[in-house]
Amino acid sequence: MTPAIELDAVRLRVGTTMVLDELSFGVAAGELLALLGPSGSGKTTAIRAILGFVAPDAGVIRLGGRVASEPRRVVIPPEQRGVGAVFQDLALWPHLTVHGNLAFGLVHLARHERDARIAAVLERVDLTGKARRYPGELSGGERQRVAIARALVLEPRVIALDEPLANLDVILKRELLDLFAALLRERRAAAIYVTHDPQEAEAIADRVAVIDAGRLVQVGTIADLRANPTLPLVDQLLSSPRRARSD
Amino acid sequence: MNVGRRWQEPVALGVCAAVLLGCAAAPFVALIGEGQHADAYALLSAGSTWSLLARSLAIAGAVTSLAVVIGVPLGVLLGRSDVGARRLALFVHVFPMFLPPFLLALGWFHVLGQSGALGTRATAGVLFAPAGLVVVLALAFAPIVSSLTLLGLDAIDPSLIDAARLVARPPRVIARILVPIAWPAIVLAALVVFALAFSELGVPMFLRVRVYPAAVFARLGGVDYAPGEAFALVLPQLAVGALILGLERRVMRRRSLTVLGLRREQPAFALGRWWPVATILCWAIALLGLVPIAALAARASWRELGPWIGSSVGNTLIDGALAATVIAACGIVVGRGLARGQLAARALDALALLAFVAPSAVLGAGLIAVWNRPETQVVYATSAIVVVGYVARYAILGTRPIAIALARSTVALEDAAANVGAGYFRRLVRIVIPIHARTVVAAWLLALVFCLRDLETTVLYYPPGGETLLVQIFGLEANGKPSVIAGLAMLHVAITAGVVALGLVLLRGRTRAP
Repeated sequence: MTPAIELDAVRLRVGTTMVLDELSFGVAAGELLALLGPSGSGKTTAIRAILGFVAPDAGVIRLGGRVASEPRRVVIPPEQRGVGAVFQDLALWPHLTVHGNLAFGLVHLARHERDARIAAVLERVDLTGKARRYPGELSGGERQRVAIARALVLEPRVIALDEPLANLDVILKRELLDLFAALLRERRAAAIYVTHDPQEAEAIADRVAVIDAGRLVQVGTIADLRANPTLPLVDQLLSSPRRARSD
Repeated sequence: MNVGRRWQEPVALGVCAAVLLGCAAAPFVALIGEGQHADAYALLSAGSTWSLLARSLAIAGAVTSLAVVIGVPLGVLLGRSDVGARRLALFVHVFPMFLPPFLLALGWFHVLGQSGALGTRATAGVLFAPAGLVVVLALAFAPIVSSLTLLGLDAIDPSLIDAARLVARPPRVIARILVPIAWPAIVLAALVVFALAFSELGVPMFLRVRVYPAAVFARLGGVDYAPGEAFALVLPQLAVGALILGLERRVMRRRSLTVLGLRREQPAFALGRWWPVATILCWAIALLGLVPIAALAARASWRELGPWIGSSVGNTLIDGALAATVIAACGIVVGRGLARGQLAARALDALALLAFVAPSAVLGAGLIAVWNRPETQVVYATSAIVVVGYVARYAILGTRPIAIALARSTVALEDAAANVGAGYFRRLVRIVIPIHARTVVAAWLLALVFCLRDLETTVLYYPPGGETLLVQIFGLEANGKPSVIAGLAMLHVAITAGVVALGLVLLRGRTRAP
């Protein structure tokens, strides 16, 4: 079966630093892969390459079997990739309402269809009645819900989540993690979830890919990784969430 | 801990407050005082006064509109697209902003005036008319709009753009996300341009277009000398200045320090098939700004300049450097206070902004009212009055950039120093200034450049023998030899270019600000 996302020997250099080094992995439709790694390991750069914001220096990125990026060339521009994203700082447009934030990517739909889709997603994330609010008028948890709703309303084939729950308290994180997991599974989209927290990875992911210095160190279920860590780093990351920091 | 040094901060703020109140607030207060015994208020009931005011407001509005129409697209294209050689194009476009509009008008005269390089009776007719004035000023001020638009775009969190790029093509991202978020910076630019256009004296007088500030000038330094009438005439201008200040406060509210970003490299949008058109357009507008400078250079006679270069060059540089130093020093103290949300600093910032946006004739008339008395001749009859005027008018150029830089860095840096016992002055000298040295230097240079380009205030009260280069050129314009005037203008351009080049050298490299 063709993976929804496939990175094939991707290399990317920023200045003199090799940020991604022969990075290869795939994510199947409906699968949720957690990308786990220490600070500066290349997690966020890998996501930016998948989103089409940077082109690799070598290697290929495929989406649904189609070449999306090839060496030094973004073949499919970001807006045509059908990839939804939730950013670490959420990136909600402050001058647009919740409805405006969700509607921005749906201009191709007729108004009634667009409104219906937005209403359904907002209901699913418990934000019915908040459509006319601005991001600045929402609580932290509500903003997180808007961010995931904005990604889901596009009905993307692939969703990338770049540490979406960083800096949240434990209770809110748990609540949102459950919501995210349920939403991603019911949508059957391929998802990449960047985190430095093994507990988050364990709670949400089918498989975990550990990367360090831009290289894939190990991939498997969290139980496999715990049982057979190939490097001390994997053991460290999985046993001590506080020792690893975000990119 | 630094409990014993708590007096330091109030003292520093108090000294700066004394300087700014003495320079910038006293003139406004004095004007109100002058009004008590001025019997010139009959002038304000004359219909001709109000029609002249309306005409000036209309011209300033037209200049602002055209400058925004030119400046915003150029700011977006040069700031966020892959236009060919965009850094060079940006420099070429922005450079004329540092020159006095009067010099640019002089250059346009050598292009479009009847005896100009491309001049005919028709082009001269257009140039020496309100339409010519609007175009000349709009081209002079458009770089201000471009620059502030660009800085507004720089303040936008890149992830907001990434999020939009996932679902929309670049033109829609620019129109629906970038420009609306940068809107407060664009409004700020429009207000600044409006204030400058409404204050402008040199260009309308040169192009023989009647405007309100010229009426004030005529009563202070011209043939219709009547200071009482001048004080009465500036009152409506003061109201316009207060209105602009009110608009700025309303638009910015508490966001003023986060509206503008510090220049940093941002990813550029690929223009695709529009690249050639956009590149040609950007470069055409940028080069258009250099046309009057090229015309001045062509007309200038360097050999004849010798006898004409007197003390005005030294006056220009010394007065400007002194004022810029005071402005930067106050900027550090007030800007820091502003970034920390101190009420006193906010009040001083509002005063500095009022002095900047208020028509220069208001400030000039007020300074005359304050300082032109027997006991203050030590200031009024010397170059000190020029420095006082510069500090009053351009203090905002010190406080705002420094406040923006400090607001964007963490308070913890100072807290950590305070925690180990560093008092206010030590924190300022050892922590704040070294970390933000580039911003302080930039503020000093910006203030210096604006002092160099000042004509509107200086011309009202420059002391005997204390004229600046620009005042000298303005004085010679009516009867002087064109080649000499063009030569002196090019000397001014060269001095400004030198200061800008110094800035580029000093501001090179990476900032230490986190």
